[in-house]
Amino acid sequence: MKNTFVYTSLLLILLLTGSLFKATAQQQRIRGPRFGFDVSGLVWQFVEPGQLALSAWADFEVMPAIYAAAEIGRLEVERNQDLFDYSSSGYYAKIGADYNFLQQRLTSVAEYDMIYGGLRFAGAQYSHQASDVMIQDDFWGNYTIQGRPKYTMNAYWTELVAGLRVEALKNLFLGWSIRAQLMLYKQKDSQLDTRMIPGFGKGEQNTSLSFTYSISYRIPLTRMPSSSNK
Amino acid sequence: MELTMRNIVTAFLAILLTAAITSCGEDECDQSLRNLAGFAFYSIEEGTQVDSVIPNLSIYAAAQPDTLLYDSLDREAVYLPLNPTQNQTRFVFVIDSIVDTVSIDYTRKQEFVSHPCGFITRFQITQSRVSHSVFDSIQTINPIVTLNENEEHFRLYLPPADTVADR
Repeated sequence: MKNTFVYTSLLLILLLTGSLFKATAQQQRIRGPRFGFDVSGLVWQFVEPGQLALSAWADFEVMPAIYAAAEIGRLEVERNQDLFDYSSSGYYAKIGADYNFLQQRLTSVAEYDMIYGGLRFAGAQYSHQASDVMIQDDFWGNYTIQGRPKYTMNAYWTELVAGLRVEALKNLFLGWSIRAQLMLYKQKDSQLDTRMIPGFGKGEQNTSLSFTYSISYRIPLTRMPSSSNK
Repeated sequence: MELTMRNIVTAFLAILLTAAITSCGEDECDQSLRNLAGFAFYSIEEGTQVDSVIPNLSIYAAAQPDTLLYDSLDREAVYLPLNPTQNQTRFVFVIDSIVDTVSIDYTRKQEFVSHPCGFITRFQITQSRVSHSVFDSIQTINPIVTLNENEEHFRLYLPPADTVADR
């Protein structure tokens, strides 16, 4: 993480110095919905092969420096082991807003880089089941029973987000963010522990910290002529 | 922009590292899955219950007579495995070559322990009987047999006038 901060700081310095050379003719701010997806979900494929995580998000600059944001995603987990087979799947949705702390420092309205902080409110609905359960018994011998049939649950939590987003190419953004999550309400299954809650993390925890990396594209809908320089 | 590329690569590696670290908590089962039924021996002396030791005690399950659960031991209490594939288990207690059959009836349910440990059987005792050749009676103290460490589920009473210790 230290390297990321170093490179980010360097990038920031470069942007700030680079902006001094921007032509003053460009005084229009492009506004439009930005759609992105979380690349870190793909990384999980390598680390935990039985897990499929898909996520997409969108945001929109409603006021200077304030973005409304929403996310959706899906998580499927499958874990087959000797003792029992476990599978779960579910969806999540998040809604919130981000504030761009960098806005004040940008010398041109045509700059969209962000160092932001934000809040999210999130909810997930998911189901899980256990099958092919083997109970060990040294004396009577191991034997298999049916397992726990599919059970559906909900969970709700809040998130505090902080991150960086940079316009790498025209309308194409790259960014990373760190999230601190706090569980508000989590439905539990007394017969089987939840392994992962979609969009949150480990089912047994009530707080979670995660890191995301995303690629996004902004559809340039409107150009707002600006009389004053922000 | 070269710095952006390095930023991408660095962040990608950061995710990989974080993911690797957080998933390294793939635990082994770190607890005992013992769910034996505990039988403690008592005799009534002058109206009070007294712990009793039975010397030279052997026990086997009626369904598996060739495997001794206890072999000629002196015991105040014994811990026996209930059969999780049936609704009844019969244990044969042999004391000085006198045989008493202890019969336990129950219902069974699976119980989740943890993801690394899996499931165990949870027994709910419905009935307990003895054949009265050695034991006076049996009493169910705790009708739930689940994960436990030397818990007392049953009390086996020896007749007062003819306790083993007096022989």
